[in-house]
Amino acid sequence: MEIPFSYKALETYFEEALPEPEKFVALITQHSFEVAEVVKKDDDDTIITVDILPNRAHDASSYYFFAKEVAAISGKKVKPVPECKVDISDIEPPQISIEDTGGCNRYCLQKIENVEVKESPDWLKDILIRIGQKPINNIVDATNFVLWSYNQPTHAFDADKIEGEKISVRHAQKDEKITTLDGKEVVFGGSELVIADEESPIAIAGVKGGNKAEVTNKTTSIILESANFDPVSVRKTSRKHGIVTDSSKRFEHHISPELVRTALELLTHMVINLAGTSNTKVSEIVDKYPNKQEKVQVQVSVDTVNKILGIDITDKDIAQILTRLQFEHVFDSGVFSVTAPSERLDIKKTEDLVEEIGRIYGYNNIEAQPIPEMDFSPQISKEYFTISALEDTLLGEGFSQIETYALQKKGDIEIANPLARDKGALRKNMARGFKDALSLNTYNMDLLGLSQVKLFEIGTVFTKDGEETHFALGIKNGKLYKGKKDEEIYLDTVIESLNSQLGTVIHKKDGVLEKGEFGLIFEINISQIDITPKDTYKALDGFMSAQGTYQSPSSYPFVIRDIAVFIPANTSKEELEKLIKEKAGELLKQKFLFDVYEKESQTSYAYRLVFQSYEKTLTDEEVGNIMAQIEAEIGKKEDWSIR
Amino acid sequence: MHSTAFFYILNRMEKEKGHLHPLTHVIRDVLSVLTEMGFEITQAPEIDSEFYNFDALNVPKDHPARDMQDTFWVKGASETVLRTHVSNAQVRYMENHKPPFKVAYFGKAYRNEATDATHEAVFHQFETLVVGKNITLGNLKYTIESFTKKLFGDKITIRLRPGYFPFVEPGLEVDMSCFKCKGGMGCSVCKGTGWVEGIGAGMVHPNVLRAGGLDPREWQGFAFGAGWDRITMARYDIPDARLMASGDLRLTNQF
Repeated sequence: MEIPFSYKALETYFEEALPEPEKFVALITQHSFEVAEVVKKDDDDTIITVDILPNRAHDASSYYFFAKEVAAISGKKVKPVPECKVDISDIEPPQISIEDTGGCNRYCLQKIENVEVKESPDWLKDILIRIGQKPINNIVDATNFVLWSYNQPTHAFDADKIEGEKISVRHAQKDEKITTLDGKEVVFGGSELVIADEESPIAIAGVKGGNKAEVTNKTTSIILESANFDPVSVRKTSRKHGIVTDSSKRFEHHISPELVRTALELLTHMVINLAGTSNTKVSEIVDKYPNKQEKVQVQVSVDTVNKILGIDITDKDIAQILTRLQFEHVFDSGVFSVTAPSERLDIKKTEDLVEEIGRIYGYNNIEAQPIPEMDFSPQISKEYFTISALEDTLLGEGFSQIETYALQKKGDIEIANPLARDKGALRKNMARGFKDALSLNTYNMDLLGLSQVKLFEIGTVFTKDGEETHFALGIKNGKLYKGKKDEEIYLDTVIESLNSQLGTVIHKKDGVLEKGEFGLIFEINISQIDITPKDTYKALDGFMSAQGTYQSPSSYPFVIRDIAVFIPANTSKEELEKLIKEKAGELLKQKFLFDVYEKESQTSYAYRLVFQSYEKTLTDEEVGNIMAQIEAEIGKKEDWSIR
Repeated sequence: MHSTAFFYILNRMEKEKGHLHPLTHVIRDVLSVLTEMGFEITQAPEIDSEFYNFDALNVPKDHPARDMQDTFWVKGASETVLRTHVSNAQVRYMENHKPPFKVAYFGKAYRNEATDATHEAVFHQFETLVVGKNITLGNLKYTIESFTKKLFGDKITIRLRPGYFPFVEPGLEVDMSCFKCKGGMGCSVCKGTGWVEGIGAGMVHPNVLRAGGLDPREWQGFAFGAGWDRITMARYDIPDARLMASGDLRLTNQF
């Protein structure tokens, strides 16, 4: 979860200056989280976008708890949480009814009468803009500030728009409706958790408020809500209706219900300061907390830390790290008993502590050590031996390897939740993909400089009998191919050659043969190919991988021209090729010899030339001009002639 | 009548060597290094149970990764998924082999996410798993260091950062100094940072060892793995993940 932190806003949480942004980023990267982006702002601020790891989204995606993290890794002191005491009047507090305690862990409300909704003061607007939020009014801005401080979503309702006395947390009824704050109508299926007054829903719990009890400039009396909802329930509702909000994202990551009250106290304190009048009255907080968060004590021994990390850390150093993390701890006979702050829901087991100690200690400070001698003799994988031996043999036969797509429209094994209709199943064979590949590569045959397309793939297919590894060959003879036109004759020679080289017997009848306009496809289950593995993988021995970088092909059509030239038998064809290359220039993408013919003291060489531009479709005229230049140059040579 | 020279050309055209897919070039390099380091090659199925793909790997039932939007389920088969990572091999191997061991596995994995230049629903990964009596994070660091040096050259350095994968703890992200611009600043592979990301690693979670029938008090281990497409794309400057399964020789024949 990427969170943009304003360096300046973050600094307000500290008693002392933070390290310079550059050092600060290095520190976070090494000990806590990846930094996705650093942007220097005109006003001397720096926005540091941090990719909070999923197991820390419940705390570190907010300013105050991120500041605590920074304190742990930098040793800088965070300011204590400010006192948020307010005077309570004897006005009637709201009534709460939680009908689904599975979906709601804690629910708090507090009523404030006689407030003035208006623009926020500059300091608050400034902070919100700095952290990428849009100021709306003092009440909404205060809830936003609280969210970004403590990671706790809160909400304000207009108290006068609420029908009846009681606010309930309940399941929506089927076909019940709500119009959200941004005017979108949502029709409930019935599984969603909602907040409702005695007549109808006023919010989708943990996801979005409704416009029924929206706070506007005319609002004078409000009910503030701070609550904790079940992550799975919020996620399902959010996904179901396609509404993702700052609030739903927080709840999905399971935040501590202990935050609920702290956040509400800060919110109320802010509202009184920002929107209070001489007549403002505040009710008691009504706090329903059905699922109390238990304190978790975790043990870790100094030995365990050292045994897992491969270091030699002392109990004194571990104690120091735990103190910096603000983890309560007691050390007794080599073992630490640790209680993490309530917001650190991720600290549940010994290895969680080992990880905390390891990352604060610094993974880069851990010495690399070779794996100790092991009583293990690796076995040769028969499957990989067969695959790699087949690959090498087919390469020698001039076949090139492709991969075709594993998901298709139809197949024996279907996907319950496909990405698209044409990707609804796993392929049951490679034939479909090979037909497309043969057609594509046959079209490009000249560009590729081939007279024959020869493809192979070794990969998984999925039939009613289960998952199988198949190997497929695809052959298509081009117009310039000089052998027998029937691809099956060629296949027979390939199978014969594979059998003699691999010492196996591939029977054509064990595979599936398909022929057509597209050429030929032969596919066979590799379990039919019995190759006895050797002690090592021959294909890996001294393997030299390709160097170089990929050049994207042009998306414009290519144009072909043939040229046949008689040159004296004692002149090398390289001389002719050099001339063609020079005159053709950079638009010549491929050139290959397809015919040689000798007559008396002369030899005729026939070349196919393929022209293509990266910028445009070449016209006949442009290519004609190039050919004319080549021909003119040939014409200048004594004893050379165009056939 | 054709001359002898013609037969020579015909022969050349037929017997010209074919090309390996760039993914194969890269995995062969990876496997050469790993087998030389004493790793065994093993395989696991692409269609697997939720148990091997999630539960055994300490991914809880309500984890967002198990959501319909991230995982493909097989129709008509209960609790059966297209594996979302090759890590389903971990507990499968533990069940049938007594430690100590060092294994490597690789192949296709599937994720239910929209496809673009950098994301493919069908992608490729490789991973290693080492379990022994006293395997430490220090051993993990040494092994990744040797692996990356053998693969990309002696000048490669690595750095470890905190990371999160449910089946390891501590969890790590490993960056290596850029093999293209040699850790200098400013090439397309490292996007000017000098570091290439993409190796996930960590100490095998005790719950995973338990799922494999091993006692975590007796055995410890590490795993590391990487996006095989990503490494291939970075190494050869291939701009689009979708090219991998395009069946197009304009890709293959460049390698």
